[in-house]
Formats: sequence, structure tokens, C-alpha cells
Amino acid sequence: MSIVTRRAVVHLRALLLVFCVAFGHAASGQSLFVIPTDSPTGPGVADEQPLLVSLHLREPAALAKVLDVPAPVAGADVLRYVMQDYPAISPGTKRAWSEPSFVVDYLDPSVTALGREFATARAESGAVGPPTPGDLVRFVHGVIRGSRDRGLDVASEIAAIRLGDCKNYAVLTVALARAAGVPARVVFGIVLLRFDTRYGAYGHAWAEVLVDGRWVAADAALTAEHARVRYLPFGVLENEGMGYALDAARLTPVWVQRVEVLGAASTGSPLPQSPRTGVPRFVLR
Amino acid sequence: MCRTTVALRVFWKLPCQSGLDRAEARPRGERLLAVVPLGLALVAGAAHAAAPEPQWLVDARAKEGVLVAPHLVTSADKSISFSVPAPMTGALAEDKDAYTAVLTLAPGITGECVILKTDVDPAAFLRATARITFTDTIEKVHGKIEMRAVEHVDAGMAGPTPYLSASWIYRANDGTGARIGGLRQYVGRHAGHSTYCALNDIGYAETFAKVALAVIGSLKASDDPPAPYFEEISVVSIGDARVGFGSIEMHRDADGDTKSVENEAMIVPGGAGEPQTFDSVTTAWVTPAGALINLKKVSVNNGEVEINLDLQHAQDTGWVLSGKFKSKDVQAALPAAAPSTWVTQTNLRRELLARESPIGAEAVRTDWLSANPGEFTTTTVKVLAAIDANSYLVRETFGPASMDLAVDRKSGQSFRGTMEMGPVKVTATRVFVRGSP
Repeated sequence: MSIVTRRAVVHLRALLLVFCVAFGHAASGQSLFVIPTDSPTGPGVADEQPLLVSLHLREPAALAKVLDVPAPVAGADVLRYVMQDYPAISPGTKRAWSEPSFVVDYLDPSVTALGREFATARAESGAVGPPTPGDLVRFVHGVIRGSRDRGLDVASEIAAIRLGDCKNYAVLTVALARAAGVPARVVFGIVLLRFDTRYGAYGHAWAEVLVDGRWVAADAALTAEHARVRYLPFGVLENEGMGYALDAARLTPVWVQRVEVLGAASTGSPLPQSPRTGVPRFVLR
Repeated sequence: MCRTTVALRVFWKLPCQSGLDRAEARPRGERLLAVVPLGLALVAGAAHAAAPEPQWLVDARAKEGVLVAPHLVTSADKSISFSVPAPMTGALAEDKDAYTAVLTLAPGITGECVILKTDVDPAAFLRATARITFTDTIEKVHGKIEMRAVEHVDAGMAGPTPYLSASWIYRANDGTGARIGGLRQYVGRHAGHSTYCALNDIGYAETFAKVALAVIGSLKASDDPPAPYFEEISVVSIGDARVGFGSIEMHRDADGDTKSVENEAMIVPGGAGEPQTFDSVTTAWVTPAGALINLKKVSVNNGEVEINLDLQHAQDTGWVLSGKFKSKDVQAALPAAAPSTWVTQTNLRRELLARESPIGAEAVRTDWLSANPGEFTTTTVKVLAAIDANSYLVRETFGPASMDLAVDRKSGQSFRGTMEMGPVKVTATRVFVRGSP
């Protein structure tokens, strides 16, 4: 491999840096990977309101496909999108998302031991049935100590060291969910956080847990840090083997490079419907 | 044939913690500036506009010293020498781990350069020494570090030596008020020697850069190993920020086989707190025809070994991968194949570009990538366009990733590569080449 090529391949692992907010310190981060964000002037948009954004990226049509929304016109480098409900995204492969893997090695003794702690904690709180996303988030948030010293670790190592950033929160959440029989997966995307009237977008990773046939976000890294976190997932960690770092490069075309927050979106009629989720789409006021 | 194992030094275990401990025995309080309620404005992220700096800080940053004519410094045992354009404060000190030079930048202002007797991982070393400096020295003198952040990182060449640097800003509070300070670090590594220079001051940036790079770039050691027959160094940038370097050295043994040693180091500011660092060494043995004999890869992330893998040829079954990957023991059989080497890749590109109409020409090869170590990856090489009369744009696509290379038609060597990774563009640019592979 030529030296300049190897430089980049070696640093594919560094790409995984892109995927994390500095848990609770997003406002003070000087990261190279903060996503430039333009905020509208004037009064802010209530967190409950749908928010219209322009997403600048290399292949907007590819992201539109992932998010199951109409593609922009050919040649556009922007995708207009309304952030409101958590979107359902399609992975490229069909799988059960319940199997152990190199990254999600939930059969390892360190993970099973933590799983027993989790089960005990739930039993003591009177919980019954399979764990909910809330159960998982609370437990993992209490177990892991935030640290930017880690890359993406495998679940058994996370269970042992109990350290990490958003990626490790996500991997451990997925491992504990699968260990309890609940399908789960690691997703990558961005989060949009509001600071008064201004917004900041950051790369992030979190878990999705399958509940009643719907993928639900389970983010143990950003729990009560902000009144409202708007999520935009754009990819699933498909390759949970040793090639996970190379797999992350698959997301490059849909990586959002700049976010323009345009303002509140209204529910004018008629509402375009998503064929997959049935979630109403909103049009600009 | 010698098949040595390259193990990276993890600085935590290095007995020599640089000369900073000794240096900090001298009072440095006067170099911290007046109490200011500066807060986090200096390191505000994209969501908040950074406040303009107060004039006193602008003035403090602008301070510079006066350089003198470069003079040669030689250790008492004649083992090392370097040239530096700043007066020495005292003699070059030596202990079992390092030589230490205290250099005067301006009246009352000194920086320090430490020439280590052992090799270090440059990026991890910067991170580790910063941590030690903050906790073991600055905090003890100036009070609790309330905030620290990397303001700037850089990478480049000083003479024949690649270097990394990091500039920190910090706020310390000893209970009487907050003070703002700066820490500048440079580390260079070449031919088995590492040089570390540091300054604890918010000013004198250019003066110290010239002094540090002069020491790093002019260092000569009596035990320098034989020069490689081929050497290449590139600088890695993320966007416009130079964040790392890579080098390759090739040596031939008595059998005619080539041992190539590739080093990489990268430091990435990651928000408030510490930067992320990556260091790696890849050692490969290659036959005169360019066929891979074996390979060893060691990667260190934030000072911790993340990958330590050997790829060995197995006579009957193809290849065997063994070692550690992300804390797990790995033992895997890879199919019979001819994984590419630096030589075969260069030859492949040269063959494509030697065609009468190279644009559109395409070929595939098999790579072993540490980003996907459990299997071989098929890489497609395609000539996209001519850059000028002597070079072409070539795209190499490996799995879901691709990189665009500027390739010299005659040699097949690439001198610049660009790869989009998520929201950022990573560029590796060749800055030094000597010999012929």
C-alpha cells in the first residue's frame, strides 16, 4: 500500500472520532468534527415543534433514501428535512440484530456479569418483562464513566473498564439489550442541540432497540443534558466484525457536513406521508 | 533473515518523564498572566461565537524573543550534537534516559529540549507529557487547572525529521484568582531518536518554534543506524489542519529481502480536555520480487495498544493472522492470496500509467488492511484523469472507502492522497523522499 494511502486507511479508525458529542460538554468542544451549523435569527423554536433544516452533504439523494423521504432534484447538494419524530432508517442488510458478534460480544463473561447486575437492578425496582429503552439507558448511563480516551471498544472490554464516549455507551446498550433477548443495533448520525436560540450539530452514536416492531433510540450518553435532543440517524453499524472501522467509511456519502436551521415547520395540508412509517411529513410554513 | 518484532513504547512506562519536572522546579509564576474572568470563551465550540480576546492577552501572545546565530551543542560523551539559535542556560545535562538543554528565549524566559535515548510514540508522547506537565508541575505551582484545551496542532518537517506539535491554553486557579497560561510542545522522531521540546508560556510562539525545530532538525547521533536505501515522509491533514505525519524506511538484508518500516503519528484536538492520538508501526518483509513474506502491525490509540497483529505466510493454508485486536486474542486463517506490498502496488500503478491511453485503465489487487484485518480486501485501482504531463489522478477503492491519489507516471509513486471521511477531508502529502524503492 502506498504510504499516502496507508496514512488514510490507518486513520479510518480516527474516523470513528467523528461520531461523538462530548457528553454534556458539546458547547465547549473545540473538536474538528463539530458540524458547522447556521441558526435562524429571531425567537427560537419550541422543542416540541417540528424543525425545518437544510442538510448539506455529498449525496443528498442517498440520505433521502436512508430517511425514506423524497429525494431532492438531481444535482442538489442540499436535502431539506423536518426534524420531529424519530425516523426509521433501513439498514442495507436483513438480520435479526440479536446475534453475538466481535463488537457486541454479549456472551463474554464480563458482559454476562453486567447483565446480571442489570437484571438485579430491574428486579429490585419491580420491573417485569423485557427491558425497555429507558431501563437500558438509565443502567448504562450509571455504569459508564464518560471518557474521551477510548475509541470504539468491544462490549466485553467496555463492561470491564466501564469507560468511553458515545460509541461505548451505544455498544454496551446494544449488548445488554441483546443479552436480554431484545434486538438492538448501533446507529450513527448527528444530534441537533439547542443552546438558547442557537443550535449546534454534532456527530454522535447511539443504540436503537426494537420495541413493538419499531426502532426506538436508546441514548445513554445524552440523557438529561439538554431539554431536547433532535436525532438524525443516517447509518447502522452493519459490520460488527473486525472490519467495523472500514464499514464506517460506508457512511461518508451521507455524512452531513453543514446544517442550516431554517425555523419552525408547520403541519399544513396536505401532508406527504412516509410510505414506511406513516409518520406525517411537514411542509414549510 | 532477521524478522524483528517492532513494539511501540508506551510512554506511561518510560522511566524518563522528560526534563519538565526538573525545569518546573524553577519559579514560573511570573509567566502566568493577570487574573482574568476569561472563562471558556477561548475554547467555545461552533455553537457559540468566540469572544474577542482582551488586549492584555493579545499583547501577551505577541511577545517574542531574539534569536542568536546558531551554535553547535555537543554532549560531553560526544554521542549527540545539534545546532540551536538560542543561548543555553547551563550545560547540556545528561542522565540515563535523556539529554536536557535549557534554552533562553528572552530574559527570564526559557524553553527546554530533551533528547531521549529511546524511541517514543510521538503523538502519545505529546499527550502523556502534557498530562504530566499539567498535573505534576503546573498544578503544583499555580493551582488547580480549571480548564485546558488544545488551541492548535501542527505537523511538518524539520530538516530530515518529521515533527508533531501541540499548543495548549489553560486556566489555573490557586484560590486567589484565575490565570491564563500556555503550553507549547514539539516532538520529532527520526532514526531511532526522539526529541521533545516544551515551553510553558503563552507568548514567544515563533521564537520557540524556531528554536525547537532547529534542535529537532539538526540532531545527529553517533549511533545513527545505516541510512535506508529509500525513505519517504508525508504529512497528514484534516481539512486545513496538519495533524500528523507518516514515514517509511526501507532496508535490504544480505539475502536481498527488504524490510520496510512505516511509522505514523497523528494528534487530533477532540474538544475540551485532551486530544486523541494515534501512533502505529508496520514492519513488513518483502522479497526482491515484491512478494510479502510477513508483516507486523502495532497501533496505539491514546497511548494504549489497540492492535498488535502478525500476518504470517503459512505454506499450505495461505496466511495466518495472530495477535491482539481490541483487547481480544485473534487467531485466524486467511485464504491463499498474494497481498500487495508497497512494491507491487507501485508497479501496478506504473503499468496502468504506462499504457498509451491510461485514462480509464483499471486493475484490482488484494490488500491486507488493519482496518479490516480478518480478511483480505479487494482494491480497485482506476486512472481517472491527467493532472499534468507527468502525473495522473488515480482512485483506489477498498471496500466502501476510496482515496484519490496524485501519481507520478514514471515511478508509479503517489505524492498526494485525498480521502473523504465523514464530514472531513483527509489529505496525505509527500514532503520528503530520498532514494528509490
